[in-house]
Amino acid sequence: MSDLVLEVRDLRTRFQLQGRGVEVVRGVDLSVAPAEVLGLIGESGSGKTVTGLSILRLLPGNAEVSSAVMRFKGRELQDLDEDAFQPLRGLSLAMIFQNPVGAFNPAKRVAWHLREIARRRHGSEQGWQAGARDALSAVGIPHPERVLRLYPHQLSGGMAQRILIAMVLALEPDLVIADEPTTNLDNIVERQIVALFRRLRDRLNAAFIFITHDMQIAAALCDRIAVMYAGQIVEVGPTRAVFDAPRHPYTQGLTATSLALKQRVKRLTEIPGELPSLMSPPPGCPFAPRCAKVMARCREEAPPMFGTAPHLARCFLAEPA
Amino acid sequence: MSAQGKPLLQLEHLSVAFAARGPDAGASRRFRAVDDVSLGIAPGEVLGLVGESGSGKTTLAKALLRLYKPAAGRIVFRGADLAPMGERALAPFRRDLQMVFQDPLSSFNPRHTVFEALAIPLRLHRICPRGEVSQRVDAILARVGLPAAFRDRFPHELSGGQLQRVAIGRALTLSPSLLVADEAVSKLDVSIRAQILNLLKDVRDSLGVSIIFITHDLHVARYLCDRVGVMYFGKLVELGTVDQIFDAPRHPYTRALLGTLEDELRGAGGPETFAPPGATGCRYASRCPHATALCVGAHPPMEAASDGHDVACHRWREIDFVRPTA
Repeated sequence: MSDLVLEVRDLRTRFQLQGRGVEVVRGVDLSVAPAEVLGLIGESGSGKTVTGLSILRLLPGNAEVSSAVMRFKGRELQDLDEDAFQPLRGLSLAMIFQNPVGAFNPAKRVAWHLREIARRRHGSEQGWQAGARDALSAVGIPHPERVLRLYPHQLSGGMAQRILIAMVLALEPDLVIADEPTTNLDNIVERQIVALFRRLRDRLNAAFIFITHDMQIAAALCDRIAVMYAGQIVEVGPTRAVFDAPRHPYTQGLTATSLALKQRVKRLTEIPGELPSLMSPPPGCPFAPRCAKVMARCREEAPPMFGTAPHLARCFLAEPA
Repeated sequence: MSAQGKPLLQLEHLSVAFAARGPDAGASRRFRAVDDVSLGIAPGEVLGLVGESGSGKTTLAKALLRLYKPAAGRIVFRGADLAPMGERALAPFRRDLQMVFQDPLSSFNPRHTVFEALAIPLRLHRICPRGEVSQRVDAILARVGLPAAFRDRFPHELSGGQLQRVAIGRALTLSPSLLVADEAVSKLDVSIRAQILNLLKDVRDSLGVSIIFITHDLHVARYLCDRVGVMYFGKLVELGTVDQIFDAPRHPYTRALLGTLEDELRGAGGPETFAPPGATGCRYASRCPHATALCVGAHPPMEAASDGHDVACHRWREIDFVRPTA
């Protein structure tokens, strides 16, 4: 286990809202190895993004983050104060955001951004042009010299996301957290970016956490899948196992919908109801109010993770007899 | 249900133009966001419009609802041409043509309760006597699957899925014959999406309303629609039944849209371009693996590839169109 890039145990993130503490991430365990892509899937409000931001310490002041373990390459991150953590951010742990254009300085050309990256990585700007051209070519930008002269607003969404990925990769981080990096992009461009991630995974030794709500993308790209619901991971396992033989009724509902859309059924099976409010989470299993297989026990008692590694589910139905 | 019978609404050579801005635009350049589009929608039909963002789907829909004034062409609805009409002439048609937007929260007045949001159109168009408004509102809520208790809630108190139900209910208060749903499920969570898609299906089946469903999600289009139109840079490039479009797509762009990640890894996806290609020639030529000099020189006309299946491509006859089964 010591060769994990990141190991997190019992991550909890609370926000102070209107004088009340609301726990948004409620005891998340996750780990990711070199050259592995862990898919973190779930609906908006399930805590995916906050999990990523908690690891990178990018949350605002009203957030309290705690964990039992937050080990990065054998080093406990919780022991580091902000001054010690800051050099890791970007260079060792990096994040790619959903809105690529917003990640650029709108007043500066693409070249300026890549020069900054070179300075950050190597401590000097020397030879940055060659590095920039290589980085842009690696992500499939056809005319790097031309692109370097452009301002962010002149880039298409797909182009901006490619350049952002090139910038992150030029930093050679050990862990990349990509938060819905294709959600704002069109169909064809989305597939191109996913293909790009897949090639990079094969070429680099970095660990990836890929946050998405798109099951097809997760299936195409990820080695393992962690499904989040109401601030908890409710199922985790190898991608094939989770999608082909889901054990949690929530995962079963999600995969059924996405399969049904592909097979052109007469009518989609619905998951009734809505996500629970984390202001007052229900006792017991948070999915119980929507679950077709709910039992009396589910409404009183919160299920732990059941099953044998690597495929686990937070559901009493996965409990060994 | 495609070509047979009289269409509810017919677009003839519709174009919408905006003044071009930005460093590349000349002083008097006009940009055609929708360029010479002709199509019809039958009563009770769900017509999907798919394409990338910027392809003109939303502009086309807003123009046919006359939220924009078209630059050219006709919008034939109930025997009248809506295209040249002014506001006063359009008024009687407004209630018949309704829209559901992508972002449900921003399409409600935050200071109106759900009851007010639903009651205002009833009163404005004098749909029923004042005394019956309250009953009507409850009936609408029931139709879209919400408890009557929701009438006193404010938009911010509802989830995205619940709000989208109210938005559909509001569009239906006036018993329209055409509903435009613009990316109505794309902002919703996966587990909620199926609920809203089923609701739209029920609405069509029980009320017989025609729906123009704009989406970039092809699976969703396939589930809900009877026919699908594919748009690319303002042009309608292919139009057919869902089976024709999904099982035997003719246009190279449609086939790229339907491609898989495996196609992409093999490099079959085609490069991303910088800017919209020029107005002459096929707009897809710069990305198309099959493009010839002819494609760059002249825009291909819409031709019938088979019954009810139209395609705008110079080379559709030559290109092997059968998609390998996944």
